Amino acid sequence: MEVINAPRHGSIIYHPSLLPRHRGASAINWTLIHGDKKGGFTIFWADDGLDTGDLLLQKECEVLPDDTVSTLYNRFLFPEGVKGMVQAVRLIAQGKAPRHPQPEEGATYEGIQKKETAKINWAQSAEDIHNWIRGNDKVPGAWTEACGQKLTFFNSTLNTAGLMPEGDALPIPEAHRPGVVTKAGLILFGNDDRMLLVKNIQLEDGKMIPAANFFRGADSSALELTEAEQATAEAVRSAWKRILPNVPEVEDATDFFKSGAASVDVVRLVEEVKELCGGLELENEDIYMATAFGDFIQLLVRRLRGEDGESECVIDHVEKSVNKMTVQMPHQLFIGGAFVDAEGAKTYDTINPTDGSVICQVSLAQVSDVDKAVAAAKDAFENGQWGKISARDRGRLLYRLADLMEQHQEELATIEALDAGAVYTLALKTHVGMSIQTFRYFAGWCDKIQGSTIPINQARPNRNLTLTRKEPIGVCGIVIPWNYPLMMLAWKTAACLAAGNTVVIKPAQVTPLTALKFAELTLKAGIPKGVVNILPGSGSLVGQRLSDHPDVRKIGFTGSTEVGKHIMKSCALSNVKKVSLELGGKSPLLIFADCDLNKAVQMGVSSVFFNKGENCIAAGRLFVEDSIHDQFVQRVVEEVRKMKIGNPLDRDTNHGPQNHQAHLRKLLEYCQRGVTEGATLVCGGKQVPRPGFFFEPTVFTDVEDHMFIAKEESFGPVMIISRFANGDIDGVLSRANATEFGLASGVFTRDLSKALYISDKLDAGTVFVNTYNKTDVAAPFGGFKQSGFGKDLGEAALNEYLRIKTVTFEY
Amino acid sequence: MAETKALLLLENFIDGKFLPCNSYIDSYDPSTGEVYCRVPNSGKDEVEAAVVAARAAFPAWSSRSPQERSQVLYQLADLLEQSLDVFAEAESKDQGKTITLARTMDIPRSVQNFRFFASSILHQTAECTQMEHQGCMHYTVRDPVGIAGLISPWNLPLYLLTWKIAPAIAAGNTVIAKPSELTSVTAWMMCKLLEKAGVPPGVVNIVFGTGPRVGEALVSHPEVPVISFTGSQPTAERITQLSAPYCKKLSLELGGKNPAIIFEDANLEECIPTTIRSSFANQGEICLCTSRIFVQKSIYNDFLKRFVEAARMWKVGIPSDPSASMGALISKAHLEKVRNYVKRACAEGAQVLCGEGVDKLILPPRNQTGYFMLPTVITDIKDESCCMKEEIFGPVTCIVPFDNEEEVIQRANNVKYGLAATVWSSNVGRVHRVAKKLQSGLVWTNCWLIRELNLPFGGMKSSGVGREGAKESYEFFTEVKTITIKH
Repeated sequence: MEVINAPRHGSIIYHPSLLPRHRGASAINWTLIHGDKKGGFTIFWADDGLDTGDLLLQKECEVLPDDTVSTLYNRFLFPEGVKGMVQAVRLIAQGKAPRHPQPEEGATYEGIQKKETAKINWAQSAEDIHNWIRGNDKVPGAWTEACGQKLTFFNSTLNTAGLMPEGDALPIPEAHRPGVVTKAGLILFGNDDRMLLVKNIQLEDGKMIPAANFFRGADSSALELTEAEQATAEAVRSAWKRILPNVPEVEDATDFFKSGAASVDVVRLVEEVKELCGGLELENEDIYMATAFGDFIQLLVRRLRGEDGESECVIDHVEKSVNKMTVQMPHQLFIGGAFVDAEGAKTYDTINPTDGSVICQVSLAQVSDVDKAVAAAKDAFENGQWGKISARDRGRLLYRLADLMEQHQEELATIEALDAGAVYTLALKTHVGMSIQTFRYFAGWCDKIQGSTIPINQARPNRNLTLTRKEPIGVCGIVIPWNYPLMMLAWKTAACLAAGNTVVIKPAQVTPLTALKFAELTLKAGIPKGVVNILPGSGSLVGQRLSDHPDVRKIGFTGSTEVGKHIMKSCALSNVKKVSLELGGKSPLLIFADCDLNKAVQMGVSSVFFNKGENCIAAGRLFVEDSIHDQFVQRVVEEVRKMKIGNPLDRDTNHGPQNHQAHLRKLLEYCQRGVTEGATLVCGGKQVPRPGFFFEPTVFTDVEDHMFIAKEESFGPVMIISRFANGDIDGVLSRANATEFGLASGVFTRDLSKALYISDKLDAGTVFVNTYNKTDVAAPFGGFKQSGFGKDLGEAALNEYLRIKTVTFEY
Repeated sequence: MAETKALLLLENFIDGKFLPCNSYIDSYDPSTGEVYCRVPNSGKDEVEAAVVAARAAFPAWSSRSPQERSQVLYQLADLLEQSLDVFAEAESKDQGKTITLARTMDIPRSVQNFRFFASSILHQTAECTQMEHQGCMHYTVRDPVGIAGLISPWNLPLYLLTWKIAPAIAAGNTVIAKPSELTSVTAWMMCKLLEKAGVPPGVVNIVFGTGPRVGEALVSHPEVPVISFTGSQPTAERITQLSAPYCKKLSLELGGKNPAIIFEDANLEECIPTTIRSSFANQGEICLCTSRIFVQKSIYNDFLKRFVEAARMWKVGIPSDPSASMGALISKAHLEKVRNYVKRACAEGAQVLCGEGVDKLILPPRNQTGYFMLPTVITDIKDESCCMKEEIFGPVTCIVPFDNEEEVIQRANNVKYGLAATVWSSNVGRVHRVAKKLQSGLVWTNCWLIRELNLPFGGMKSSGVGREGAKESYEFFTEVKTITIKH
């Protein structure tokens, strides 16, 4: 007391509680542990050490439900305490400082809180446990024994609204119920069965980890920095301080953006890092992905050590030396950014149609694999970076993907030739070339997706404003056919990703290899894990499960009408999925006597035989005006005879093998039926006598409207020619439209009026005038009637993967 | 004729009231050359009064919903339609055009102008975008600009005046319009319908008078931020100069020297009557009229013969004659100007195949002093001749042969104007190819003057700046604002 009273005006003391509550040490801790709704500090005239002196002033504040010792101190007790002391000193100086005796009523005294005493007592309510944890956060830290070690809990909250205790159980011997590790953190239970959530856990060795990662082991745990890296970290810390002048101290938890950084500061940080770290080039998105200083240093050190994402992924390639190159083909399922085996390690053989040999074994996805892939896609959509990065950055990733596809175009085209029998030169230009263009085209759309501002009737005297926004749908399932394996994938996936969705893709079972190569390229491009998942497998298992899955909100399908109907039904029954269907066709091509005959012959041949006839818009029927019919047939047959049948990898081949054996068999039956029904087989109709699944280019004439081959799609190199009477435009139109399909159509004529009239009247999603097969990434593509609905390509395709939300304000 | 000798006296319409003027201009009946009407010779003071009225009316009019403004426009359209015949007669008498044309084109189209913008204003939307990574929402709203100054020409008086008034007031602007002092009657008549239609006072103000007095006062008024003008290129230059200090928004629809390109595979049955119409309709006083006809050599002689025959059948008569295809030109001065072009062509050695100086024009005695002229066809003329370069704006057309597609495109494009072109061919490939290469704001293939009001109308090169149409006029008469909200 002698010391205390020595100064002229006496001594005063700051104490961080509302005295007489929580006299003694650890006052803030106890304020929280006791669940006080009000906290604050007291400045009192010093006494002999039991905090019982007369009160000079007190300041109160509200204690928030999730306050910790640190937050309460930083928010109020420290900044206001400094001001309080100043005020107290002023009052003394002015001679106005009061001395109110401390009441004894309500007084408490608790001892100092240490690690040994901070063990959690589980026999209490969730709220009491929460108060205990936050009352010890961060010092000394509330702990419990579990999993054979001492676990210390931080960042507890009672705000568990919407959380489901679903995840891996974490048994706590003394607790009423085991904890549950979820994506949001560790859910704990009080003896009242209510929940609390802990976000961070400190392991016994001192490592702090997000509670959500408790079971994830090493990959999420912090790196130990070397001395040199420590020095770098400190240099980077200084850079953060320079960029964030208003932050007193840059700590591990300091968030770059919450501390006031704007996008211009992102660029500055990238540049500072380049200077400080020997030219290390980060991307802007790296900073968006690691916004807290601690995380940022981790990311930086990983980059400096060269441990970027790509090298983490080990791909078990099948290698083949073919076409003067070595192709590397992934052959497993692609789920959550990793190539994995199917459940039960199931596989099947994928066959080279050129010789019938096995190319390799491919993982065969099972229902449980679909569920895993959908979960990965859902997580990537809801929690991943894909939804957080800007639309422009999303576009950049897709551009990069397109660039990588271009760099690998020869490899992709070679794989397409091996797996689908695609003629290599055609595959380069179309199968792969157009796939690249498609990704570029849709990459450009990413940041141009927008809604409208719509004037509506005003609710007077107030005013209204209606806006629409176009949002991604969520997890989409894409099921594609075997005729253009990569291109069909690209047509749908590019629009789907540009719109911001995540996707599970099922390539055709017989042609999975370019899709899996594509998967590898998405990793290289830096598309976040889980955004793209690829599952080779059967329609009946994988396609069915995707159509039925409750978390899939959209199915994009290209394939047969029969399967399309089945998918639509499943989509309806499961959860009313949005669906777009690109189905079969029997596209009519009308050739009039006033056409440019050279062009009509050349285009007529390619309208049927392009890609071995495995082309959904292939001209399924040619109607030729009587006066030029015989000449046309003769010239077509001459052209067909010139076609070089051969190994698709040979540069001079223009007709390769059919896609797979079952398809070849169907073509044989199809032609047989044509002959039986009385059509004239002019050439072809047989398998080519060589290994593999080659089928001769075939021409039928005298095909009458009632015949099977006039009505049904062959999907192969079979030209079906019927004649029509000279000048009978309406007659041939009604025959051309007398089909349940309506995918594409074409007309050859020089006459302007005829061309416009026919393009009006043809009942098909596409009409080609004096050309055929001329598709373009910017032009919508899709059918009418039982050829399906919904468009691929063009701006229209984006809308298949978006949903519109209307927001109406009143002000 | 039971016409009274008393002159029709027009008054300005400002703030919903008809106001006399202290000076007047004589207006002539083009079919007789007699004065029949007096038009206010307004100036700065009247423009100022109109600005005061338009300014006062703007807040209430602009804050009405599109639906409410739409109803007013529909109402005005209905009233105009009910008086269609009266308006048609007045337009024909005032302008010199045939009653048939006024009744089937000018006035119905004026009605349609109001109806079209009454409906299109309901369907205009602006844009809304999201920037999720920045937590920002952006949207645009469009607001009317304020007071719009509208200056319209004498060839299609009410038609082109309403083509400007309708989108301007539909978007919520108030307007000050100046019709041509040569053709002011139907504008004045329309003012009488405004109150009944529910157009509040001050929303539409019409100040009559000349370009140098009223037009210049309007164009250089600081409170009129937007000017829409249809007329000649020299006037447009003057407007641009006068408005420049105020950085006004301008829409300028100017002249043309429009080619018709007729290929050997054209259907002449359709081509000839339509090209006659495109050359001589409204006395050739339409900015879209054809005045250069390029005909492929193989059919040149045949075409020429049939075209001249048809031109001679194109009857010039007094405007009220329902069998007349063509009436009187707008003014004595204009008639002289058009005749002079024909003289200059002759002096250059060109041939006049029919019409002016070749055929005799027969008129009733009373109309001998009217401003009539026969449809005139000139041939054997060089591309460099003034008749092939300058806008004549009368019933005069030049016909020349060509060899091939590339050549004719080059020649067709070789003028300073670029408003409208017609192409005649039945070849599907050719029509698309040629249309794409023509330097022209509009290309009609195998037809002429079929207008789609939704799509942009206007010319390139010296034929103007800006376009008019459902979207384009809306954008012209509104200012867009981008609003960003961070959340």
